[in-house]
Amino acid sequence: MVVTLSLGEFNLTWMLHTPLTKTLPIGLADSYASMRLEVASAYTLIFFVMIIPLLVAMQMFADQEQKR
Amino acid sequence: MPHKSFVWLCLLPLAMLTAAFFLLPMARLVVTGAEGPQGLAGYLAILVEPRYRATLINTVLLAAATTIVTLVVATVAGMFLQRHRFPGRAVLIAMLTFPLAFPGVVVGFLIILLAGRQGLIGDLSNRMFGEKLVFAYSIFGLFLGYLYFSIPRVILTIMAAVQKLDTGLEEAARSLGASPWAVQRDVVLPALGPAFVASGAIAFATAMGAFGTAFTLATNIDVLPMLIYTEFTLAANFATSAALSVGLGIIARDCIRNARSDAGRRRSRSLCVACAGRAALPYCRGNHHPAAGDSRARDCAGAAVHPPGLQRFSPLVAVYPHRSCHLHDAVHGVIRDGGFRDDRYQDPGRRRSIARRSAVAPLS
Repeated sequence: MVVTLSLGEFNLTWMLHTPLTKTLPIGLADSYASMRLEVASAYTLIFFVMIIPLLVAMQMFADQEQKR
Repeated sequence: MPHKSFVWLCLLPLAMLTAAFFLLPMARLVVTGAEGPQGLAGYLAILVEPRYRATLINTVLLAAATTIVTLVVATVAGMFLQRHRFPGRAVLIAMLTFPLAFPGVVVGFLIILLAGRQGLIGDLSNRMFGEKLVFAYSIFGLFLGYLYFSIPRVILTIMAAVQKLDTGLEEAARSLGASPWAVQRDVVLPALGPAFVASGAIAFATAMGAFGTAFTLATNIDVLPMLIYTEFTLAANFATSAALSVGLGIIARDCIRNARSDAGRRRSRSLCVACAGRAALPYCRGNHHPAAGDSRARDCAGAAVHPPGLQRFSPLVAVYPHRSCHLHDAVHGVIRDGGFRDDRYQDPGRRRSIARRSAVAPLS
């Protein structure tokens, strides 16, 4: 939960970010807001690719612990 | 270094962070709230001003509805996912947890993509019915967005709680004749109660304070975080927005606290009923039966009345008070015979003899 929430942290970053410290959620929101949907889809895909394997790995890890 | 000072030293970074980023800003906020033209009375504005009050009620109702529907959906899904293994289960759980990573603004945009004026649902309904269905900017669209990011927060807690459930209790209820729905209603859901309260509190607090989704979607509706934002940025009403923020925090905390204490009170009351029920039955041989209102009833339900092996069945006793003695005999018979084993219930003759010995009528 900590990992996913930190990856998606938006409110604080929106207030404090500069072009040099842009994070992924800011890029995502920017591209959705300017209706550049292809860029937005690309960003969303990056999110998916980063987080889903991590979550799957955590699930498997938890299952292994349970089996033991 | 002595142990105690080591512990304090370890807590120091957390204390500094909490003080710097939470306590000091909160104190400044509280002070700012009282600096407006109305002074301290500005804090009552959230209840007194009709527009603020309507917004507050809107927000509380939306958060409550989100919490309830989230709990229902997450419980059903969580129980299934925890108790069944199938290929792709890990990926499915990952996809259900994934929305945690999305900022609220993006969830709002996703709802617009789905149900906005150029949205997918509008397109489909246009082709099917000739009428474009657009609900992204209504309270229903906002509700869907809140549901989307609340489910991940709740489902993990529920799944962990389901994992810890004692299946022996469900087997006991089933073997005593309870229908599957009665097993869920009387054994599983009460046992999951604390998980409901804990995860429901998180979902409620998040829904009350959610800003990003409301920012993107709430054009006609007002929710409290949006009100605070507009007062702060558009009207530069620092005192009002500070007072509203403090009000939001206090109200969210009170709702959660009420839910917690209500859940605790209901559980202790049912234990008293169990004792009262046992007292009414003539052949109950327990030695002390305080009346239902007696404060000692809460203590007696666990220890004195039941033999040690029956502790784990006390939830069943609590919900079937008038049958508690039957249940006691039935379960005590099982324990005397050597505890629960699966093969015991394979033999229908054995099952019937256990039931007959305690003269239990089927519980429906």
